[in-house]
Amino acid sequence: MREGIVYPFTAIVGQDEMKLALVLNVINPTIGGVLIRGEKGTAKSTAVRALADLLPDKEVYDCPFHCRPGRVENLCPYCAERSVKGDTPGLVTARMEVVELPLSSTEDRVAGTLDLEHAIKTGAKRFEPGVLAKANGNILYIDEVNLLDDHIVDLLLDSAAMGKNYVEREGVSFTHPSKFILVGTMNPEEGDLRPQLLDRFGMAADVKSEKDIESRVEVIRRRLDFDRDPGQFAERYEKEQNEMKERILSAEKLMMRMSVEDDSLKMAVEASLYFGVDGHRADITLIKAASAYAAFYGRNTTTKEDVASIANLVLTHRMRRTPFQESTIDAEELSNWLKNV
Amino acid sequence: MAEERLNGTFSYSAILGMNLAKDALAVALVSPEIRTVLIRGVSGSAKTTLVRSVPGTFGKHIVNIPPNTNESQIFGGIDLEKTVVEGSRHFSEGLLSRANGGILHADDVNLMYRPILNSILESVINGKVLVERDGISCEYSCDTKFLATMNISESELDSHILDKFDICISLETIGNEETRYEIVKRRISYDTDPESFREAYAVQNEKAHKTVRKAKERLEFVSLSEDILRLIGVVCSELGIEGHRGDLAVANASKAMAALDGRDDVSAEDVKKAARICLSHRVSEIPSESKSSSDPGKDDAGKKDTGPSAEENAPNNEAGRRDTDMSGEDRGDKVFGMEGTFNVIDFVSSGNMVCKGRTRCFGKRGDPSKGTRSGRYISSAMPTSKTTDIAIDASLRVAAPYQRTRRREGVALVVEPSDLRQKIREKKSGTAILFLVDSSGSMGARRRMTAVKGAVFALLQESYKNRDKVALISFRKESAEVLLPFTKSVDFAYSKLKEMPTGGGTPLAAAILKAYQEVHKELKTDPGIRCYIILATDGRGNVPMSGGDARQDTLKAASFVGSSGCGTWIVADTGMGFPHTDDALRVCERMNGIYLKLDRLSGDGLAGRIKILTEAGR
Repeated sequence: MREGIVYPFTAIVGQDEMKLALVLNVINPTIGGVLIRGEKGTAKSTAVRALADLLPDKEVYDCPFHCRPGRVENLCPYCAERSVKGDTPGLVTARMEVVELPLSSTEDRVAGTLDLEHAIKTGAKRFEPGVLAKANGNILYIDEVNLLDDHIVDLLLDSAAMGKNYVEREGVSFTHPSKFILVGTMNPEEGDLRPQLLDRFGMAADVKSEKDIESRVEVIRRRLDFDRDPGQFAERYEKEQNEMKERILSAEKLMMRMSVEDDSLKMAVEASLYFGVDGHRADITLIKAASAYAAFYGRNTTTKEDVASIANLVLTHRMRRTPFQESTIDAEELSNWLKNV
Repeated sequence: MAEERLNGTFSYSAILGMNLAKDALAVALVSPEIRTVLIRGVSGSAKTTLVRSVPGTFGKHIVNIPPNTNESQIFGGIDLEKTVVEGSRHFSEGLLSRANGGILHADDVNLMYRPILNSILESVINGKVLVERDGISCEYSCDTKFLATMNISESELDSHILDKFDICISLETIGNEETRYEIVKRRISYDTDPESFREAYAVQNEKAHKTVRKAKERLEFVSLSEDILRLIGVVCSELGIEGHRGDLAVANASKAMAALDGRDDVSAEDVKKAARICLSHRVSEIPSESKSSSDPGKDDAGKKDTGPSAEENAPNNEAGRRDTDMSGEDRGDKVFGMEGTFNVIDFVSSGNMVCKGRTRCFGKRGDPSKGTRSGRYISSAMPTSKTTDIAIDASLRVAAPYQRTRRREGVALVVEPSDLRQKIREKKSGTAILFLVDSSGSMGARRRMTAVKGAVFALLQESYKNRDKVALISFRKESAEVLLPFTKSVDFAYSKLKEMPTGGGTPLAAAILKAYQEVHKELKTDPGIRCYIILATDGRGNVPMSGGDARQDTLKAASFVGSSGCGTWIVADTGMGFPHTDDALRVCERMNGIYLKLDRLSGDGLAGRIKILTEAGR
């Protein structure tokens, strides 16, 4: 992704919900990712790839898992061992990446496995990291996530919720951090997402193709311009891109001293109770997303208005307690409810 | 979120609204006889958070079983490095040995390969692991507490596996606003500053630890009186508990309850509490209405005011409870208003679904199939033919003992063809169900159509849970129309079913052939899949294929699909009243199908019977 020029994020026409959801996740990676639902050709992949370009470089340890310097318990075994010994690993600068998980992936490549070459050459066991290792600190992107094989989904569930990948296979026993922003796209007509995986996504954004003729024309125009001369096109958006980067950076800083009003906590709980959302992930995610939203708008206090602004993104995909409920009705109900609060 | 190392987790005592679950964990920690605990709940109910907060608080270490592990990793196998160096077989103990003296934890156990889960449970219950593999026979101890969690929106566990869990708790959704508010608040404050958060709860955690430690010391002095033993016996037999694991679990848990409470005598109250956590998953039938009147008298006092008692709680059998959890109280009309007559609650409570002794497994894992490269690697075996799916670890282990005698030219290991082992993978064998629904005028009698729709809907619900593929074809007027080609989206099937119009002729022959085509296509793209065609009709085809005799055409089409061996046909005869004809039966005979009768317009009865049929094949 780093080679070549990526279509600038800020040049994407419309799709504000999706863009907002992605940006909020960057500001606060603990939100838990985004599920993007919609038809083909609605700039889903473009947006995800473009996002990486907005991310600032991060200082990470020079290890296969790109550990973020921090508490020992959050490091991989290599880094943990070294920092305990006082031999802190060297720092390198790495940009957040979009790590793709193809549908055809096999479980050994996803979770990591025995390093075969090493085993044959030396007769000793060693862990060979997989996609979940690469995804640590990055964005894990799964196109058509609803078509992913069940046994691969099983592997993701734990990492997505707990931020760790446990590997016990082929004589290798290994645990490493695997905290990632889970981004998936799906076309709902091709099948449902397993409820368990659905719940792991912090947010869901629905994308539709632009109805407005002017916007459609603009989409075509920009794409053609980009294809003709990506470099020049990117230059045109450089200012906007930089502004966006700045905004994300300062929002990240604001997150550090974010305070959450009690009212907004209460509202989050009321909302998920009213809509009968299972478990507590929704309540917690509402607050996390609202905080990120406040930070994105340059504030260091999370209010009820912030919760209301992002409730749609957090709640709609969790409102299906029964399989045959239509969630569109719920979306209306939600906006009515929000109006009344 | 929760980290594996000690002190790296959310604080045990900061977890709210889980008193029953915490009681159960405390009981398991106190009683040496209680070794296996299952925690059931919806997504995000803090199942895992709870389990992972245990080791830090109670000074135990925890070993996690990830979903993608295999037999030799869990139970142990040959020690590759040592065997190569020394030229004789050395055994390397598995993951279970690391759990010795600590806690063994597995998330989503209902997704685990059943034979492996079964062996793990056996090992934990027996406190030791027996290994017979890789030419090694070995035994090691595994004294541990197995804390397992499962998400109830996924497949269910068999009753015989459930029975091996001493304790099973279902986490209820917390409806109390104040509590939920506090939960979010604590979580946010934990995420902001985990260190001080943990410090704030350190004292409470230590208190919980101390209570357990004291109870452990006291346990040996706790005694069960004859009356209490009798009470346990009565409770278990009243509830129709099969086998004696339940009784023993209740006895042991009651002792631990008394010890935790600082008493030496087990009270009826202890038994009641113990029964709540030990029996709910073992009740396999819906007890009769007279249940409450047959409660052991001794236990009657003070029962109603302490929330649902074991006896009231337990009768919700697996199917019933799962359904309630999924859909909640208020689902009613909005969701299931399928022409207002068929209701899922009826379906469940009618008792048709649960027959005592029948397996309650709704999972759909078939036997491990060899030869395909997809699916989870669970074990290895001698190759049956030329294989490309080599189990490298297993092959290396086979080769290991011979390394000293083999000529190693520049490599560390020499593997010969005879060493090769192939992977055995667990391949979920999918099920595809095609609903072929007669929507002609003769079905027009409203109630009849409603019953059929109700039955199909009930089956769709099961399909949703099992992630079956479904398709829907309706036939009326001149032709059969594929309303929905095979898809995993049960939602779409539902909306199509809802909109399905009725009226016109019965092009049964065309419909049968159309269904055949669809199933044939499906079998081509996914050869391993099991197909069922559920034909709901009265069998009175009256639209010929091309100007001939409609009846003859129908029977011809039926014979054709019958001899093709394409899928399993289930004919639900909707014909009724007088004069009754046996057209549908005739069609079914030609198809070599399974014949069911939709009598007394009962959609649920029909759905129940079809479900049993399709499940037999899972």
